[in-house]
Amino acid sequence: MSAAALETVGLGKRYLRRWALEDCTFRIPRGHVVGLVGANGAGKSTLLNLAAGLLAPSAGSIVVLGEQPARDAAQLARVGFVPQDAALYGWLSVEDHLRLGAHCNPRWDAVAAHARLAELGISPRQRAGKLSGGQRAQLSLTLALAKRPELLLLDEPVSDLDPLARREFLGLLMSTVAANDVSVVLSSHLVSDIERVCDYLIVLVDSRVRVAGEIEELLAGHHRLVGTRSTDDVAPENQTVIAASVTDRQRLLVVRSDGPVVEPEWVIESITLEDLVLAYMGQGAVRQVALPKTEAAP
Amino acid sequence: MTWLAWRQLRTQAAVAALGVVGVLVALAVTGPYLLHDYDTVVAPCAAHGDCLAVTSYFQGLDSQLRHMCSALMLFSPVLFGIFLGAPLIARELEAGTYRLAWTQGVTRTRWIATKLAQVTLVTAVLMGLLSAAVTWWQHPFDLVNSVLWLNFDWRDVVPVAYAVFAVALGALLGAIARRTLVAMAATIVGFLGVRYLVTEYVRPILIAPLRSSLPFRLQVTGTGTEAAIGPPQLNDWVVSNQIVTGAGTPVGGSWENLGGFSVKGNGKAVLSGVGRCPNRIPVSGGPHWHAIPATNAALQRCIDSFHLRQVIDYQPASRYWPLQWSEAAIFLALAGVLAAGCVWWVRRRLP
Repeated sequence: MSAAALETVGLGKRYLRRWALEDCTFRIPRGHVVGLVGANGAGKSTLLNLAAGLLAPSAGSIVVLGEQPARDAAQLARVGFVPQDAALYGWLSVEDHLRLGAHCNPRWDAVAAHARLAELGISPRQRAGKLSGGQRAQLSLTLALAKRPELLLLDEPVSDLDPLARREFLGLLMSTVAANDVSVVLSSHLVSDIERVCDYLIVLVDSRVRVAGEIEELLAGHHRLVGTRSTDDVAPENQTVIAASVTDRQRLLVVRSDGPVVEPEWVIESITLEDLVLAYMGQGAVRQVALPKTEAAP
Repeated sequence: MTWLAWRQLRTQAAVAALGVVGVLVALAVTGPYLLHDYDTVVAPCAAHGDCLAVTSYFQGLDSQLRHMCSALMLFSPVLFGIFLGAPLIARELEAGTYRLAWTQGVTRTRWIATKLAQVTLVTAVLMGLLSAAVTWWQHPFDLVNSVLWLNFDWRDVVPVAYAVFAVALGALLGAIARRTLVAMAATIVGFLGVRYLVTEYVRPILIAPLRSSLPFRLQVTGTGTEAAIGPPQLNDWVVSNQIVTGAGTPVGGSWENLGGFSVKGNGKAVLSGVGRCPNRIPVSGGPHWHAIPATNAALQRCIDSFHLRQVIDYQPASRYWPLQWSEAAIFLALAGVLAAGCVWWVRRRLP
């Protein structure tokens, strides 16, 4: 099984005139837990819906587990999808949802699904419409996991949950994923969620992929450079400036380093995932927690 | 997928079935009495020769239930379309549950095909039961006073085809509109529109009507004189009835009580749209002046001088069943096209 979990070439999706996703080219190997971050409306849901086969591309191509998404029943059975706000049949019971999954999926794991719900204290008799937000998310995840998917797609699964439920949900997700050897793509607009569970990052900005890669490599390959205001305006060699900001006393750069960073003029610091994401999202480049009186960079 | 589709449909199907069973019970309770009445009261009357009083008594029986039956049969196809067809896809889109359904290990094509097949089957079975029951119940009335073509729209096979069509229409409109309520309203409008067009413009020419063209004869009736009806029998369906001149031009005007004639006091008369009568019409007072034999003969002479003919297009009673099957086939074919449209729309245009 050498096919990538998810591979796109020039992928785009247009709604009427607006491009929700444009010119996306990336390849995610199997075995990763991928965090898909971006502001609201950046195209996270669109990308996941394309991967689940709910949407068809307007441009380019997307290949999921080596096949066109939703090409046939077998492909659909290999991918688990947890849609945003957990799409469930409100008037069907939890039990009915499990039966639905059992009837529709060849590799359905009924035992694990029942055990998981029992562990969560969700009664099978209850109607899905009466469940709390956290329980709905959990039921939705249970349904996706019981398919024994090779790839699990989660579209903002924790956005409606309070911080505690969030932590629980992600924790349960991770333990299940680790036990079942499944690739995961998880979208969120909160970096803290990603940081907790993901080892691979895709940042979407304005419908485009700004950066994609393994988080460890990204953190190793990016640095914060702190310099005085008099520091030369030109970026240091072998570095690509991702974001820059200026305060009264300092200049701050986030750079991508293609080689070792040797810059005597600058103080070199390692970067946090949050700063890295924010730098790519272009929100005034870098948070400057330690520095008073900030000015917006041009 | 079969399980889920049925799980979703079964509540509506149960409600519809309950309604149908209610009607069946009402008909089953009253039907035997009607048959008994017919056998004991109406059937023997033929032996005595005078049936008028008996038949009019019999026709007054259960008139409420009869009207309800015809209304029910006329409206239930569109009800199936509204309550079973329109929500079929629209509700999934509205609630967002399509995202769950379409990411199971079942293709969308199979999903929609299963749903359509189930809803069509339920509709056809329930509507077929209704139609059969109503037809059975009405049988004694048919024996007394057959109005074959007046029952065409709500008897036998066409209602079943209408209902199947309405359901497919509702499903497709629901997929396009993505709103159940909008789809319901559009289903009503679309269904009535198609029914009207077919009834008005397609049914009369589905099988080329027979034509009778005979010299125009007046006939005297109890209240006056009117155009005599030619060869069509009681149970034939008169599609069109025209008086034409020798050249074939239709003559307008009403022939009831000879609205087409204007007769002056001196007996000179004009046949409107045709010309001046060559002969004089004897005029006497009274409301039934034209029923007097001499007057009537004079009017007929005037008509004959213009070589007027009465042209009637009609469908004989023997074509009732061919037309039932043909029209049913049309609606089933339309339903098939709409169902194919549903599959295409769900596959290519959604979400």
